[in-house]
Amino acid sequence: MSRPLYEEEYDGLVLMEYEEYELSKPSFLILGLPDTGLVGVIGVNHAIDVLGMKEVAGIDIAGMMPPVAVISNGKVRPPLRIYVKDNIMALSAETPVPPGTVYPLSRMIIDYAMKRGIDYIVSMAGIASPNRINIEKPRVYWIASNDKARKLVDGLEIEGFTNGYLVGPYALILKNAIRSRIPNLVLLAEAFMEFPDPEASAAVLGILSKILGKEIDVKKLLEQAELIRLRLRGLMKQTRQTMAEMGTPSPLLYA
Amino acid sequence: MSWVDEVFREFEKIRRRIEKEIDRIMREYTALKPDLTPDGSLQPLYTLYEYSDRYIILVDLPVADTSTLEVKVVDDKLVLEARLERSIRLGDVYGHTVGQEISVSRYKQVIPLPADVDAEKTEVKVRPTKIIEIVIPKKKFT
Repeated sequence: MSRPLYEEEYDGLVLMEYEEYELSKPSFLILGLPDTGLVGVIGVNHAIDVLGMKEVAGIDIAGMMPPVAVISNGKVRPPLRIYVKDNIMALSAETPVPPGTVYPLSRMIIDYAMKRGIDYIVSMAGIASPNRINIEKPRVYWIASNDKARKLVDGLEIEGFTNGYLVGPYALILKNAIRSRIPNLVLLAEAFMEFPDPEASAAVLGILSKILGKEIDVKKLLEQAELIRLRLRGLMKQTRQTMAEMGTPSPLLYA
Repeated sequence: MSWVDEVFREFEKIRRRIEKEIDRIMREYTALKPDLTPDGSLQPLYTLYEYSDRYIILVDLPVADTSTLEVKVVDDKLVLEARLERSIRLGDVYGHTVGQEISVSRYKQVIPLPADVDAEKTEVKVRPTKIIEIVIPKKKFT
């Protein structure tokens, strides 16, 4: 974390831009926050890698718990990172979003997207499926904040998520997006609630590729699926605890 | 409102406080539990699902050699062990500086079982995705 070009503080969160950048139109913000099966984190990190995106900004949790500094290649980096390439911006998180941070973070993300003239926010998420073990190809569902967002899935053969719950940062981002009239599409893949699920991420990336009109190859992701599952055990465990604190219905109670 | 209601309400408040406190302690306990034991084995992630007639435990065993999987019930615990396909250096997987020279070559997990399991009828299914499904029926009380 070198000293940024631009910085804004918002309710204990600090957003920093390290360099100037421009996005071409129509612009997309893809969100990869830790939730069920770490679908978003795995998917967005893969997209960043495959598309060769550049880290230009980040969000640090400065005034809140937990007090952590992430050190990477000898440098301090914020836990949430923002990457860009052409018309795509991606946000990826390295730690779970603490329950107290969810509210200001969701407002900050919407606010920043509006400042940057983002046309669509796409949330990559997982939805716990008790039957996931018997599903070979996880299905993807969508939720749209408005008509403009809904048009993104026109002609794609995926089902709407008509009844159920969405818990955590994506839920608040969706509600804030509705209030701010910014199109937000949530893509939910059937996933293991408590195991990292690269196959579910691949399913969402398949849909995302069509929406972006840009192929994001998932071959490498599927090849490395086992190593990814091994590597993300710790983050998955923490995410599970954070989600329990936010009151996600536990499978023990609802099975 | 009668005094009985009031007493009940007070009890309810206390009960909730105790529950909250227990939750908090449990969370801290699981957060502190290391997932790498000193004997060099990794603790896999697992989930326990309860159904009306059985329990299902799913265990995530990426990179495991599932032919070496051993599952046994010892007293009221399920002990699961498996070797990894190859020994893995933590530095290569996590990229952390401290402990990078440590290698792990097996998984081990001890899962406490609920009291009403019929452990003799434990069934283990190995999925090609290296997620293990363990089905344990509940005891039937007649």
